[in-house]
Amino acid sequence: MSLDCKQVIEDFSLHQDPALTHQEKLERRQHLIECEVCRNEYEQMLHTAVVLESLPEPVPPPGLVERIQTQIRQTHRRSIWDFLANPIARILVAMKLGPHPTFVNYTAMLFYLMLTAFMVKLTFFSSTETPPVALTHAPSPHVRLVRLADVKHGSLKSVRIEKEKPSEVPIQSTPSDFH
Amino acid sequence: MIPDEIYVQKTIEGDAEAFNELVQRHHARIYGLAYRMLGNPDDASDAAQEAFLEAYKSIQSFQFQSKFVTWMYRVGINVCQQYKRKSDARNRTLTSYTKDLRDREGQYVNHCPDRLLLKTERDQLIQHAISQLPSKQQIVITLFYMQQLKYREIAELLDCSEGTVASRLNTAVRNLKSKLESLQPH
Ligand SMILES: [Zn+2]
Repeated sequence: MSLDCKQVIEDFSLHQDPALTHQEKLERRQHLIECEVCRNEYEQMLHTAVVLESLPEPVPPPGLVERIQTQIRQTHRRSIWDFLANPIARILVAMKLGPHPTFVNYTAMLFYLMLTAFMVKLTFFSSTETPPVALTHAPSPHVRLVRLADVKHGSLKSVRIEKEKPSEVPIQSTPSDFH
Repeated sequence: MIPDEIYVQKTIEGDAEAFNELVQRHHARIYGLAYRMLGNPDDASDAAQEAFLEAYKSIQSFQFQSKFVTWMYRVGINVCQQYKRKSDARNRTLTSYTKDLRDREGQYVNHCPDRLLLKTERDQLIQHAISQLPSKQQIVITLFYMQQLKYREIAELLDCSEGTVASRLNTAVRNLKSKLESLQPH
């Protein structure tokens, strides 16, 4: 079976496709031996690969690590402030409840706004106006006078309850009235 | 050696110094990747820094199902791709390669001799050719040849099959070969 060159170069070359079977690989290898065009192509690719492997590893500029680490520390400190400023968001994140951060921020903002409004109201707008007339000048309740008869102490039998007396009767606390 | 994932856990618990240990361990790889993808030390430094910052901020999303370094490469690749898009927009293509070379050499010698990363003209040629490849091919070439990752690891990282990695590598090397041929001064 003869393979066409394009196919050999495309799916064999130097990175042997893991999907190829052993037999397919053998066929392609055999083709490389027989076909000069493919062999040349293969060798050039091999050369490119060798060159790539021999490239020196780029050396990071001095101070790069420190620069990154400093930035990480700064970000960390900022996140502590964020925590103090917005514990709700942090708690949600920690609980992995996963609402969108923006949503959390808006919720927290709304919460603080309401809290502030409430505090402001409490401090500056506490009501000083007089209560409605109906509340202060309500008719005084009827008073029931309980008269204790001049009987021996504790003798409940002789407790007499007077029927509804009009309120204009002055209520006096002197015991002499109770006769 | 303490595994990376322990440091990741500590980072999640609020220990920034644990993350800085990871920075210490992996910054050279990420810088190397960025350098190969972006083609110059300044962008590579910035991209590496941004990649670690990004990783730190989104460390909660690390699932402990892959290795930290794989995840970190992924973050690095994303950041570099954003950088490339930005620099494409800036349209910083230079008119001729020779001018580019001369400028760079002058720049290194005059301003930052300690950043002399590409010692020979050949290395610069190759880097230039790599920079011209499409980003997907740059990534496989860098990961396979420079970072010595295995097919399996690259496939996991890029979320594709090993066959895709192999064929992308073939295409990349073939493209690179023809680019080098056209760039090579005869
Ligand atoms: Zn052939």
